Amino acid sequence: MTPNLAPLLEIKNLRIRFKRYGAEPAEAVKGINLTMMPGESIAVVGESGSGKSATALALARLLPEPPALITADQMSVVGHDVLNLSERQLRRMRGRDIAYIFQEPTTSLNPVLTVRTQLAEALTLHRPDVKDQDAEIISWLCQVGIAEPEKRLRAYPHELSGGMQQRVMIAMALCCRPQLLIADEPTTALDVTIQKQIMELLAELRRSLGMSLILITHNLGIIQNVADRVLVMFRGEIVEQGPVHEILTSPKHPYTQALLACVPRMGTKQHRLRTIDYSQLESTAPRL
Amino acid sequence: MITPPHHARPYALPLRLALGGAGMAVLFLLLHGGSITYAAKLLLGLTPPSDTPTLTLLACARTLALLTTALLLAFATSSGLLFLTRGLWPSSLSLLAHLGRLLFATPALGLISAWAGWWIGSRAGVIETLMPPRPNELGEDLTESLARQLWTGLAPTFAIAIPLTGCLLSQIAQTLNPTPNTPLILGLRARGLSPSQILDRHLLPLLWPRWHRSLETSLFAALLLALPVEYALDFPGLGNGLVHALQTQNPQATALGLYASGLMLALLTGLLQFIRPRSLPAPLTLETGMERDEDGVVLGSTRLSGSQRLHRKGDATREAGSLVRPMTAADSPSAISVFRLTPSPVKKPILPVIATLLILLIAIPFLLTDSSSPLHHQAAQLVTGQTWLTGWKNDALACFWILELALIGGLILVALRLTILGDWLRRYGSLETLVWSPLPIWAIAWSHTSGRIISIDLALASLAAIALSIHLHTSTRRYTSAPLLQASRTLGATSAQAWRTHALFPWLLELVAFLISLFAAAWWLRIASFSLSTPEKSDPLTSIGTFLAHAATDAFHHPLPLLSASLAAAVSILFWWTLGRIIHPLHPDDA
Repeated sequence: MTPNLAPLLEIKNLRIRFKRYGAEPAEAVKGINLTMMPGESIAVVGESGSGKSATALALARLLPEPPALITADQMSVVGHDVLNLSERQLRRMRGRDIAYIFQEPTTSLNPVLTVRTQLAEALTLHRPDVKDQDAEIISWLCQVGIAEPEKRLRAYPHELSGGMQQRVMIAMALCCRPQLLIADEPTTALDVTIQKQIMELLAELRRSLGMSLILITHNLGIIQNVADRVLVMFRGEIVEQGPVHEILTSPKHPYTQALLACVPRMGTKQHRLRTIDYSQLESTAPRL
Repeated sequence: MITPPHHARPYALPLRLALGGAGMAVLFLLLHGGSITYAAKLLLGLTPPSDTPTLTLLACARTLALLTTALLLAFATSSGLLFLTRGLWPSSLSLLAHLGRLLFATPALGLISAWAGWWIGSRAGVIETLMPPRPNELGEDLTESLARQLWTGLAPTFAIAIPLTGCLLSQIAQTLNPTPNTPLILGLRARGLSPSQILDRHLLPLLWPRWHRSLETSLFAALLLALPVEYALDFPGLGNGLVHALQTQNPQATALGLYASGLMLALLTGLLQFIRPRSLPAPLTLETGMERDEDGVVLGSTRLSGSQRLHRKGDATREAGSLVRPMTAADSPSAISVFRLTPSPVKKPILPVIATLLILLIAIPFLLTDSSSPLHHQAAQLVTGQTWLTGWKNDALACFWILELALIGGLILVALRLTILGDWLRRYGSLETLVWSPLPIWAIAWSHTSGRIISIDLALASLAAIALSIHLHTSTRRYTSAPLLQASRTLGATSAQAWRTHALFPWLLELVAFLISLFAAAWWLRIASFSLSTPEKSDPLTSIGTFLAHAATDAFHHPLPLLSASLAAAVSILFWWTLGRIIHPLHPDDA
């Protein structure tokens, strides 16, 4: 992290609400602040419904508006004032400056188009200067660890395993060289061994490409080797943040403590897996 | 979402259709006292039919051209409409969806408009018609002759193409209507694609497999529709020839017609197979009804997705990796599925509202006319149903009997699947082949030539039983393998308890919707069958169909009986069809 550089991401008082019929809007994110420097890697953790994905999608205005209502005092993403961009400007930013990987590669890839077509589309949109698209695609497939990339070019998504599909998604996200990659639970749909491979791949690519990474997950076990900093979200608020080692070893907020206590550990004798006591949290939880 | 077990198109469908058509023709001849040798010789062309042949190769070619043109026209019209409105996507989808429904119901709406047109014409004293009169052919010049020839081909083409267009437009509305939050669309938006790029590059390629499937399944309904259309518009094709063969009680010509129908369907499905979309993922092949692995362990349908179970021999096909909902028995194109046996649920029941308004609109002029006028007298006849009500009642009663017989037959067939015969049925896709074959034409032919009213009802009941058994088997397996039920069982519930709590009600609703659609289809087929009968040999009170046949003989001088009966038939069928769509429930996993 270089202190002299301008922040890659600067968000102040971000609120996301969803309109509801016959009721007050539901507030999914309640005024969070977030700053991220170029090259930094942040993990956002929290349980389902805590507002992690809504925050990530709001960064590129991907939430359908309405029903979503996004407001912020400041929302600067990769040098763009996202809230004041037109749809055309947003589209130019998406994929080129900020890229996403989602959790279900099976449904995120178009089943009737080949791997080549889908990767070439991203290149055509954001890197029209690339002359030999096939060579570029093959090189990216190699980088994400796909064996025999020449063969896989003509493959349809259903001919690939889940892990390979996710690797294709990663290649597709990275081939336009974005400055910020947002991985929204990229390993949820994969088995444990593949999860490890994908996380290692992401960490390695981040280092080699020098990009920033926001990793959204509810799995605290996978963030240690990938993230520099951790943000813990609970009910639409960031309740604790800090370096990954500090959060994992000495959490201060009761919710973070409860979250870590719920992680089963090998070699530790536990009669019963702990769960979070929400009634206690609500009475005692401070914001750190 | 769980993919239901696909009683999809069986492998080598064109071959099955050709052989099936020949088999039906042979069976038909055997039932009429012929021998196998004679039947074989007749079908091979070694023995000419005893009477003057009413079916020629040219007639078959004409019908083939008619169906191909209708399919192409439907395809071109839908594509054109899509192209014209694509700039407005996705707001144009609801317009296309409504247009699709409207066109799909065109036969009924056409009757209604004809009826209204007649009424307007009768008030003004002139009856206008678009149909050019058939002049003395010796006296007509080349231009007139060409115009007449053109009309001869155009009218039936439009009559078949318009409902098909409606079907394809509905597919557009379903395929291009993804919510912005589906993973695919979200991913595309995150990569910076504009709505038009998403539509052009990703959603339209998804449309083609659906259209391809829709065209393939529509072929059978189109061929069935060709019978009354060719007959009514006097198009010299296979359908017209078959109807004449039926009316003259000519078993040889009828058998040849059945044989030709099978060949024609084989040819058209073969052609469609040839232009199968390249973008469609390679078929994931599963053995028909394969439910056990090598160790004899019973597999749920949902567990057959692994690559280890691919490419087994002797299989039915299934398309994998597609966002398109996989084909089910309901997509099977038997004429019984003319009305879509498992139709999509109606989110906004606008069609019944429009139908009711139309009926009111048509009824109002009659209510306002002077009670002493002949028109009012005829209207009174219409309202009190003195003319066609008996036939209508007979149709309704017969369809209830058909449904009851179908229920019994369907349950017997389902029970058969559990016996040693079930393995044979699954392995060779026997029931599926029957559903895909032109059985309704055989049923109509048999009922006509046997001269017994009960025959058509029995034939329709058999067809309905087969369709019902496939539906029962498919839906039961789908619900049984639903994760919802599996989750319930993991909580300690027995299979019966899980079924009762989570599956029974939606399963029953689905069954009721299916039965109602079956009822509508049976009604339609019964009327269609009887309307082809010879007026002199049939009783007008047997069915609305026979009433129509009688009324058609003097339609130009007394159009009211024909039009009112047609209207009654159309509205009844539309009512049942829409009712089936309204009560169609969602699968638990879709909900």
